[in-house]
Amino acid sequence: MKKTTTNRIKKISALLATFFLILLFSEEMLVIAQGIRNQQARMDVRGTSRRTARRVDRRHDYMEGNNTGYVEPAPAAAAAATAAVLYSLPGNCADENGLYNCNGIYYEAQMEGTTVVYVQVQR
Amino acid sequence: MLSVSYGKTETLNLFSAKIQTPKIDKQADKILKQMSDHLTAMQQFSYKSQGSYEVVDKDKKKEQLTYSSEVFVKRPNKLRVNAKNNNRDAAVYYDGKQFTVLGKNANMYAVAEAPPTLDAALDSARDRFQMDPPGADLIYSNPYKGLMEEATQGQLVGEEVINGKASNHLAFKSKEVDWDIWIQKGSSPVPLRYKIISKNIPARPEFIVNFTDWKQGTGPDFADQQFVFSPPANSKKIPFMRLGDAPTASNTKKK
Repeated sequence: MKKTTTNRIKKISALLATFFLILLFSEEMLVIAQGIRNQQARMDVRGTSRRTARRVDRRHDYMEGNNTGYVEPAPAAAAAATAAVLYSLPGNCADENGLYNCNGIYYEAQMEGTTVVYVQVQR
Repeated sequence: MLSVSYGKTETLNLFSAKIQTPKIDKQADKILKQMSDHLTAMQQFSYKSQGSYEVVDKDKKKEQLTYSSEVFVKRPNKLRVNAKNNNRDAAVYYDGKQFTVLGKNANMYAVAEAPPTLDAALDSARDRFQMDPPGADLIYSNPYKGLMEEATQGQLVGEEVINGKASNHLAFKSKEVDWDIWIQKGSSPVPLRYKIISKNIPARPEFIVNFTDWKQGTGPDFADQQFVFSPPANSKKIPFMRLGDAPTASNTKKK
């Protein structure tokens, strides 16, 4: 009788040990899985597809140098609602120390990508 | 169902934390890797490109714009690009220390400090100044790594002739874009065409570029001095428009 009880205790102990080992293994796997997930998240930041998507996004958002006097809100400055970007200046603008005075509205030449644009500024 | 709690907020189900394995056809992967290795091995090279990209207006109508360019690469830290479209004629110089962009029509240029390697410089140019040499994804030191980072599917579509040259057409998908590449068959597996569709943007605008005249670089075009910018006569220095900068007097007004 005593021997049977001892055997049962041994079996239960073995089962408990197995259970905890499985639990420990599961947690290890979880940590590994999370590590891989985090690594993927980092890759997202600089992935080529991300980069190319951003490029197309920008082309979607901005005109690229039509040089036809097209006016649009400054693309890099949603906050500056009144500012505008010109791809060419209107006539009769005076160069005043690097700023272009066009009938009282001032513009500064800036390089947007590979395009020279004229950004409205406050003097 | 077995789940494990991490603190109060984070509970992750072990069985739902399945990591999606990209479905990349082995042959497509091999061909792309061969192209990448070939480009990596070319320490000095040049190519020409003719591309088009679609701009979507507020009414979701697409307009196609075209450009052409000539690109010179000298690894690990030099790049020169001449780019033209109907209204723009620009040159980009990277000499390992500085970026310079020259707008030839306006005779104005902008200069900025640059990282010491071409890879870092390309990232920096894209992120800070919206500069994107045509096919820039393909001139990194390891194009394969960058191209495949977000790919979820890839396959060999078949053989096609591009500008008279036999090529393998590969097609890949990722979360944000689908892209195709045509790689020349034979001992010189250079890209001949590269197409990207931005599928999460309304009207799915497309960017496509054809590459020609791939050449291993030799001669005076690849002398170090050719990658150093020298201001033309009467040219004017202007600032870059930075992403996130507001064009107000505080950051754009001349002192």
